[in-house]
Formats: sequence, structure tokens, C-alpha cells
Amino acid sequence: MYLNKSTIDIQTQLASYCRTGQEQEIEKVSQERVKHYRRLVFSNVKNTLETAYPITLEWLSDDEWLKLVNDFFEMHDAQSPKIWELPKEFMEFVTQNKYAATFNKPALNNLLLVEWVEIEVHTMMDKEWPAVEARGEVLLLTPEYQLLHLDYPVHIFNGDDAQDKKGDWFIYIFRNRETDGVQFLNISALHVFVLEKLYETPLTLDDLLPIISAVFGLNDMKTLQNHLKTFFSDLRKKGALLSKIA
Amino acid sequence: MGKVGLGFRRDIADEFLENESFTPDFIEFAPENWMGMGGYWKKVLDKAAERYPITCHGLSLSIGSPEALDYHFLKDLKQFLKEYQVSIYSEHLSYTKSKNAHLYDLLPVPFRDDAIKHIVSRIKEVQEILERKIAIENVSYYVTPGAEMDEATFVKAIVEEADCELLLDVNNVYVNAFNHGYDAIDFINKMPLDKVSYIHMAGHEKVSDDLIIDTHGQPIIDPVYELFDSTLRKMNPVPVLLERDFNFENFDAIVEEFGQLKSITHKAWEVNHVS
Repeated sequence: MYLNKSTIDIQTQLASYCRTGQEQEIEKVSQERVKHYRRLVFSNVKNTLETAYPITLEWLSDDEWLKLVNDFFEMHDAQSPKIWELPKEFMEFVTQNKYAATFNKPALNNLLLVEWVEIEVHTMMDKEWPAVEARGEVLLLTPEYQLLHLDYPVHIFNGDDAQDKKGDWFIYIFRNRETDGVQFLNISALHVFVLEKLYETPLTLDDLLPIISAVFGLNDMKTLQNHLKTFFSDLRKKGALLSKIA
Repeated sequence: MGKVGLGFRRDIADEFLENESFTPDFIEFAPENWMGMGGYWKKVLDKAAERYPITCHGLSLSIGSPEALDYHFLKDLKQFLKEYQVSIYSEHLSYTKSKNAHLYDLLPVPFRDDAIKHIVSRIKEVQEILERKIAIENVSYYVTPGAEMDEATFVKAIVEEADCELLLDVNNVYVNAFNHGYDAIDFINKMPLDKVSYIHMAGHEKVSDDLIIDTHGQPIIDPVYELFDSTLRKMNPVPVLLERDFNFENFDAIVEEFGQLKSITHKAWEVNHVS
């Protein structure tokens, strides 16, 4: 390390000022001009987060949003060299530091998660198609996806209304291979089980039926089969199911 | 003859891919904004890469930081530069990381001897890892924290001692000369022009009587074109990039600006070649 302590101190002071906005004496630095660094650095981070979380931004008050962004930038050491990944660190910071309780907005963590996962599924690296035997009846799902279990249905209702509907909510978020668009599907626990099974190992509908029947105690196989056919038909229409169904 | 390119950004990606009347010689983008990305934007980038040669202008290397280089990032970067056959990789002579935290903007390094030694050793290390020379850009700066020498001495020493290339940002020279009261042509004359491998041009915004901010959001002004013209006549042809980060509404005006750069470039370097 060639840098002298005084040089490191100057660099640290300038960076610290940019993160906190708290004025401090820095050698040969004009207070009037250095304000532009704080403005530029902070607005870059703030704009990035506002682009990533438009629904959260709209739901929170201006003061609440500004407090989150200020606290995050001041207290959190941003780790990713890619600014587009910063919103994930923001979501984790807000969740870990329990701002949902501070603001009395219990659905906050769920909303941030849903907004981030939409970005994550949209941008995640392309995955290989599942290597399975090319049998027409095997149920192949799009490989870029996330399954979420939420306490509040923030994917259906606005933040305030969602908070009145606490429960077990499941969402299937996937990327359409043809359009590259991201879609959300509100699903049941049974659907989650089905999707998890298929992502473990692509199966046929005939393979699936006895497994689901056993786990969920559903003995009316005809009704179960019709239900799943409807579900898969919907997935096919929406671009989540890549294979054809009988 | 020098090639002229335009910064490739998501907001105007369609112009690069579908506008038949606009064909830059090359495109430039920040690798950090595209690395590790799949889906729609990966397809867009791949289409652009099929159509244009690519240069990359990094944002997060933080060559002037006290802390260690991010070796994981460098490994990914090397792979990315290889995948897209990037001809020039450049970075800023600044720091963007402090106390293990990214700030995502360019902070000025103190113009000091110890900083020169530090940065020279880091550029050499990066060049070894990437197995290529990198180009270092003179950045715009609004304050001179702890400065013990002038900018020209600082930049020249680093480029020469590190044996790297220089990305000469002509607009930054103009902005810094105005903000810090030095002569822009004199600064250019002090630069090791034989080390310049790339030139950037951009617009800026005057925010007060004594301060210009380097925004990349406005049209280039005439004095910057004039400085550009006089600079080209002192050096061999290199690629020239028009940087525009926002205010894309009037794309025709950007195309005109691009055409003006091309015209100046051709005139300056045609004369040199003939003589």
C-alpha cells in the first residue's frame, strides 16, 4: 500500500460526506462545491431505488421513503459493483432493520420482495432447458422463475388493503421464454407442490396424479386430473409450460 | 481515419438496432450495466454486438480506492470483455468505493505522489489480470481534496508510469479548465498524446457563474468542439465517442451532433494524412 494515512483520510472523509450529507472539513475542499457531490451521488442511488420500487415509493409517504433511502445509503455498505443489483441490498436492509414495524406497515417487506423478484426474474441469467427425454407428455416448465410465499397479497391489492388480508399467499413468478416478459400467477399450496415437484424432475400428468393424491388425500382422481389439466392449460397459455399437454 | 461511436443505452437501444439511417462506427457501454444479465436485455445486447464493434467504459473498478481491487469482479469482467470481443476497455481516474462500500459515482483522487504510486501499481495489476492494456480517463472534478500538484502532472505521471493508455475526455478538460481556472489547450499540450487511444466528447451544464457540471445530458457547445478540433490536429487517429446519458427525446439532434463530430474528425485527420 503506497497511500499515506492522510490521503486515505481525505478520501474517506469525502466518501463519508457523500453518504451522510453531514458537512465536515476536508483539506482544500470548498463547502459550496462539495455539495454537488452529495447531490449527484445521492440522487443516483435514490433514482435507482425509485425505478426498482415504484409501487413501494407510491405507497409510502415521502418522509418514510426518504428515511429508508437515507438510512440505507448511510448505514449499509453497498457490495455489488453493479448498481442494478443495489435494490436487492436495499430490500434486505429494510427487512433486516424492521422498518415495516417502525412505519406500522407490515406488508412492506412483502411488497419490496415482490418488486425485487420481478426484476430478478426478468434479468436472471438464461438457464439451460431441462435435459429430459423428449416425450410429448412430460411437463416442462420455463426455467427462469421464483415461487414466493407471502403473508400479504401485495401482488393483488394495494399496500393498505393487502394488510387487512393476512394469510398464506403463494405466487409463481416466471419469465416467458418467447416474450421475455415476467408474469405473476396467484396460486394455491397444491399448485406450489406441483410446481416444486416438476422443477425437481419433469414428470407426466400420469406420474404426478398418484403423488398429489397421496400427499393431499385427494381420492377423486378424475376431478384432480381435470383440475390439473386446467391449471397446466393456463400455464401453457401464459408461457410458463413449455411442453404441450394432452 | 478515426471511427466515431455513440454510447449504447437501454433508452435508445431501438435506434441502434432499427434505425437504418443511423449507423455509428462502434458502440460503447458500461460493462457493469450488462454483466450477469440474461433475458430480454441480454438478447438486445447480443443483437447490438452482432451489428457493431464494442468498446467498454467501466464504472466500478475504483482504481483510486485505498481498499483492495475486487478480484471476483475482475475475473467476471475479463470473461465479459472476451465474450463481446471488446476492443478498448477504459476506466476513470477516480474512486467509487470507500470503506468497503460502493458509492456508484466518481470521486476525485487527491493529486499527490502517494496516490500516483498507488494507482500506477493498481493499473499494472489490472492490466496483468485482464491481459490487456486499459485506457484511463481524465475525469471531471469539482473540488481538489488535499491536492499537492496540478491535474496535468498527476494524469501524465500515472499514464506514463503505469504504461497504460489515456482516454482523453475533451469535454472534461474544458469543464475542469473552467472550474479550476486553467488553460484547456495548455492542459492538452501537457498530456502524453501518443498514449491517447480513445477520445470522449459530451455536453455539460453550467450551474453557476463559476461551476460547470459534467452531465452528459446536453448538446456539446462550440468551445468544446473547437478544443476537440485543435486536439485532433496534434495526434494520430483514434476512436471518438459521443457520450449521452439522458435527454434522448430529440434523437435527431443527437444524430446531428454525431454527424458534426464525424465531420470534424474526418477534416482534422484527412489533412494530417495528406500532409
